[in-house]
Amino acid sequence: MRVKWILRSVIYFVMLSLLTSCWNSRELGELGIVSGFGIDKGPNKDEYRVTFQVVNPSATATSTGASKNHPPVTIYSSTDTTVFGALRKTSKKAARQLFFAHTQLVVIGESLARSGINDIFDVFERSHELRLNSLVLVSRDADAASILKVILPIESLPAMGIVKKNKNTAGVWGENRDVNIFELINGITGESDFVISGVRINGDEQEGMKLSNLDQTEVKALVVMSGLGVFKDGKLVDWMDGPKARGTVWVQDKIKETSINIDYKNKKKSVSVDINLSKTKVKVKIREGIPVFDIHIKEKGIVNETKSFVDLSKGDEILKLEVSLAEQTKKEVTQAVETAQRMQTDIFNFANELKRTNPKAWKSVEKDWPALFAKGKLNVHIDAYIRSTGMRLKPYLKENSK
Amino acid sequence: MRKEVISSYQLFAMIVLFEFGTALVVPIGLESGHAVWVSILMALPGGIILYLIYNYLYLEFPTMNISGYTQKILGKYIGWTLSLLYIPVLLFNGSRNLREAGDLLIAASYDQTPVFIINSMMVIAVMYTLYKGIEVFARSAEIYFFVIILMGLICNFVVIAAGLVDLKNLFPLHSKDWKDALASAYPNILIFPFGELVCFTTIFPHFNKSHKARRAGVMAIVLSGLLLCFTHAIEIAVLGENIYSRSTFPIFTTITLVNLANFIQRLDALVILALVVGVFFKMSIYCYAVMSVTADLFKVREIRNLTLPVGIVVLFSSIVSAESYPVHMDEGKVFLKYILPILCAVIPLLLVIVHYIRKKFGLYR
Amino acid sequence: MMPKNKESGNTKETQSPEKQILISTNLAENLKEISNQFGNSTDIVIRKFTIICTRVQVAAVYIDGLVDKIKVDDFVSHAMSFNTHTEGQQEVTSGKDAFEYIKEKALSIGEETMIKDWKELCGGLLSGQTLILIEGLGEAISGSTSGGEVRTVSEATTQVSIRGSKESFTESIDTNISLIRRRIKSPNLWVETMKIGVVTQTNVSIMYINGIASEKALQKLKTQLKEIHVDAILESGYIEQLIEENKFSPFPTVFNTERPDSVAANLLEGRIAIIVDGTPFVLIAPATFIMFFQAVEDYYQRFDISSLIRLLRFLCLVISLFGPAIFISALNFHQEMIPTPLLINLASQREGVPFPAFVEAIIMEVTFEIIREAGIRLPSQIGQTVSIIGGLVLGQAAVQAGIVSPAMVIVVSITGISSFATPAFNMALSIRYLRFAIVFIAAFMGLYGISIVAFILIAHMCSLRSLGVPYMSPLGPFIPDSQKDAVYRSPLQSMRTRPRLVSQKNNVRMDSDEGKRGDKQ
Repeated sequence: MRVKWILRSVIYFVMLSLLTSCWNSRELGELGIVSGFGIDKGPNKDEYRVTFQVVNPSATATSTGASKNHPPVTIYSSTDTTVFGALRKTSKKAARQLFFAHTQLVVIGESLARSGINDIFDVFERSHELRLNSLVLVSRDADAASILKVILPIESLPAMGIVKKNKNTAGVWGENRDVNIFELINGITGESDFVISGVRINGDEQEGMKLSNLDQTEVKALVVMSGLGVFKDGKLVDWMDGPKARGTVWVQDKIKETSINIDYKNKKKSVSVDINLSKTKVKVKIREGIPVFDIHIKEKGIVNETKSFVDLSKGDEILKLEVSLAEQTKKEVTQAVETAQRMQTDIFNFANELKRTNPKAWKSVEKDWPALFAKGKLNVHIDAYIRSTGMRLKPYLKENSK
Repeated sequence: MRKEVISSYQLFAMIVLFEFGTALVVPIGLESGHAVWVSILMALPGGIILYLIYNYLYLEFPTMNISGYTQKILGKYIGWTLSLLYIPVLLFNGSRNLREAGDLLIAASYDQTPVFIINSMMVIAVMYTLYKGIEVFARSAEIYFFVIILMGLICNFVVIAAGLVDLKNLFPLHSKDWKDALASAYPNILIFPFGELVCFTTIFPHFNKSHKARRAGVMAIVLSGLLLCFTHAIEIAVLGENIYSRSTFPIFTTITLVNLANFIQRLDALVILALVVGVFFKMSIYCYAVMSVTADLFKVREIRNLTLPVGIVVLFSSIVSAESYPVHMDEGKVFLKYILPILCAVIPLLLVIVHYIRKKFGLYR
Repeated sequence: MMPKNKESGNTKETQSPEKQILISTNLAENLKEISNQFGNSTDIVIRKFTIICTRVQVAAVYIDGLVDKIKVDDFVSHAMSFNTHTEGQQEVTSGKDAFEYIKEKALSIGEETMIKDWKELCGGLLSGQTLILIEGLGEAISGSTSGGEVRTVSEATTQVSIRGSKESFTESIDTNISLIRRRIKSPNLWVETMKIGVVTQTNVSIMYINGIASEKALQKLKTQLKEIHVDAILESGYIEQLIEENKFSPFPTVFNTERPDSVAANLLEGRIAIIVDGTPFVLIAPATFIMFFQAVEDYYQRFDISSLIRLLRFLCLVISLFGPAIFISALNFHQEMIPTPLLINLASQREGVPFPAFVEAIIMEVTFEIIREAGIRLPSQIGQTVSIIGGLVLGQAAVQAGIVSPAMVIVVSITGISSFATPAFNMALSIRYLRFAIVFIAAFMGLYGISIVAFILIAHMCSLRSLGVPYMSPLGPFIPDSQKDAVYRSPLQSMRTRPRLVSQKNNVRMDSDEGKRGDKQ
């Protein structure tokens, strides 16, 4: 009986002590929800300028009585030698404690990217609040802060809008990659190099910051996705655009869906094929001291448009298109690999693949991999299939019409 | 007081929850790199053999716990002293579990809450349950068995559905990996989590159908071994060897990566719950083992009266045992290497041998 | 024999029930004593008359309102009927002879008994019997004339079902027993009646099927009932509270129902029914936690539908127990769990709400409880008004005034509605009040606090027993056979066994070989 009594009193004591404070309890009203942040090079050496895009809840489109007179986000920035230091320093400027668990986007300024980004991601891994699956972009011809400042049409939260934009284009066009912090860290720790999608501002940056930017059908400033930034040893070395960028994504096996214009007979790029299934397999071997990259791509597509007469009801014609498609793909892939070889940056995970499958061979080439990579031989094999021609077989165009 | 009985289902549920305890959450067998899942499978037969040893001793002495038959087999004085060893070791191991739970909670969510409060709440729940008796504890284990299986299914489903699993991280296995896997399986994974089943020697005497203990236990060990293997394989497949080996709680990082349809994301809470459930049961069993051995050695008639002292000792030693998590991990390595194997494997094996010899030559009076 | 201690005779109750006080032979004295005992209560009716041929003084005594007037007239005239028809045959002069004759005559009809004991006489009067006292005799004839105003069997009001019997119990114990007997036509359905309550002398019957109900539970219940020493049993709730093993548990361990079909089903599962006179609520023990989430209708609908509905009820249990607590802990501790658009939405709703989320939740929950409680006590017409004022005006106005956020109103109302999805009202109440404790802990420790409370709660529930049966069975202890009718309900054909632990013997419901119904059906 006495034990019970003591047990009870201990429980009551702890319950009482519970009441004394709320420790981790934070009201929503005390939090400034950070939707995205940008990291630029600071004015001094080894300093970062960190810019935060903080959501203004009462002005977002989701709230019932949203006041349209305020911008949906506010920008703060601070400078410090560590990222976390800058986060906390911002408390001087912000009325609410910044809350990072919902950060969707991290933009890295181009100048910072050129001087190296390997050392800035530790805080993302270590903190429980920052999420590892936020998207990473590199600003192009602008600093990260100005990207975050632009207000976007349709999407009420600019950061979210940029994330969706990137996802959208990576999903259906394939020149950009959906690289998150987690993948980036794996890239940094791995043996290969990596790429990050670029983002730029089209138009007047100063106009883009104003709410009045949204008062017109064609906005004066728009954030657009632009190419892939190629990183070597954590430093941005160059940009890849257009077919080269898509070729890179293709080798990395990250194409979800893309549209490719192929030649038909003598008409250049006259048939549009929508690739909706693509699978890339890469094998890396060392033959006589030189790496050989076997790339095997299997793609399936639908003919979506023809500008000239193609008798798609005939199997032969489809076969011709398939050959043309394979050629076109091969061209893009080869172009991408050759460009990377010229820069001596292995952005296709070839090194990791070699290390995984053949650790002994990797040991022998580890030291001068970049040079060996540049010398490496490329074997591309494409299996292209056209599965469907849409709602019509023959086009309405006459065969001999010009 | 009537004798408290537990059924084979309850034994099964308790063993599974005990195995899951912390092993689900903390990285185990780090030496083996990405082949850790293989080493879990390798340690499984060893775990079953250890269990069979405990079970053999139980069948020979169905009414006694480990300290009881140690005294019987090795004689009063040696046996008593040797059994005394179990009390501090089990207490310390129990407190280590508590510490791990507290540290994950603090790292994951409760960074401003004093560790004392977090740990003491857990200890209160443990004390309450143990005060109600081992039977009540066994029943709640059955209920939580379903809860944890459900949570495991949800977690695995979302991780797989989110397309995070990359089997490339698991294969291929080179000969060096096999060697590493074997090295970390014996003795590390054998002892943690399988060898820790030595606690169940104190629970066996409550078992009602002694012949069923072997089947239920082996099935539970196999099931928990396979599930542990699966979970750790998924963790490595998602995170890759590098991040897996660097993270304090890999399963937590795995879950944070989930983003299904932009709506199901950050299921951290599920992992924390799984850990809290696992630690709750593991710690309770440790505490019960301590209580049982203490009651046996010091002739305490009412075992429930020991709930409070044991709970408080565990609470405080969980806080003072290490000043930081890295120190805690280092201590754990030493503990795992030198102390636990003696209690989990060496002494029981010794008991079996001595008992066998004494029985064979009729040396029992 | 006259009672020697007249003074003490008209106190409430004599202290020594063993001592018999016999009825006097003097009629006038007897009548005076009756008046005294009942304190000259005006509803005691004494009709004196004389049997003409014998000049014997006779009196009929009964309590107005407890008797059926027609039955009284029948009884009296029947008992006296020799007066007219058999006059010539026998010369009856003394009271003794008259008595013998009346006895012979009256007892042939049944329901009439002889009373010698004074205490028995009072008891008989109070239970609606009519007594005939004859001058010069120390005995009284009692006729069962009980009747008077009782409610007829009507539709169940608290446990409504779409499908199934519309009958419900009434306040009369005899009617209630007959309602059950009509459903189980078996001689093995045994009833034992006892009087509990020192003053109220309430009839309490326990009913069980011999051969199915567990002897141990029965024995335990009987001893528990015998140990009850209170002055009044006015409702079965008194018995419920007095036989519960763990008085401080928030969970009810005795089930109650007003549906005869529910009682019949539970009797067939080996449970014991406790029927208390004066209340339509029949107690059933041993009760398990799962029972409170099962409705009789589950067995009348197809198994797949009712399984899904059961799952829905368990979901409702979780929502009503943890709903607001999880919401608060997500809002205050685990904001990362909430999807970003939703979080921003919630944040914009909470802009301008002056209270912390916890206070807001408590305000809304308490308001809800007030509206609920007020709604119960009011007549149904006004009850609607209250719910309109409460629901529409308060809810809407509070949101517009910016005192609470719309999301909180949604959470509180879904929890409220969920708690009503529990078929058993007493369980729903317990859960509703436990919810406050959980909200409280959630506001301080978030999900971790909730999970700690859940450990303690489940350990507590596992430690409960109802008449020796573990409360959480068949989940903990896990009984595979009984899973067929626990969380889900399997088809009737496969439910061959009764729940184990509740009924240890005669476990088979159906003959598995031929699929025909067993003898208990």
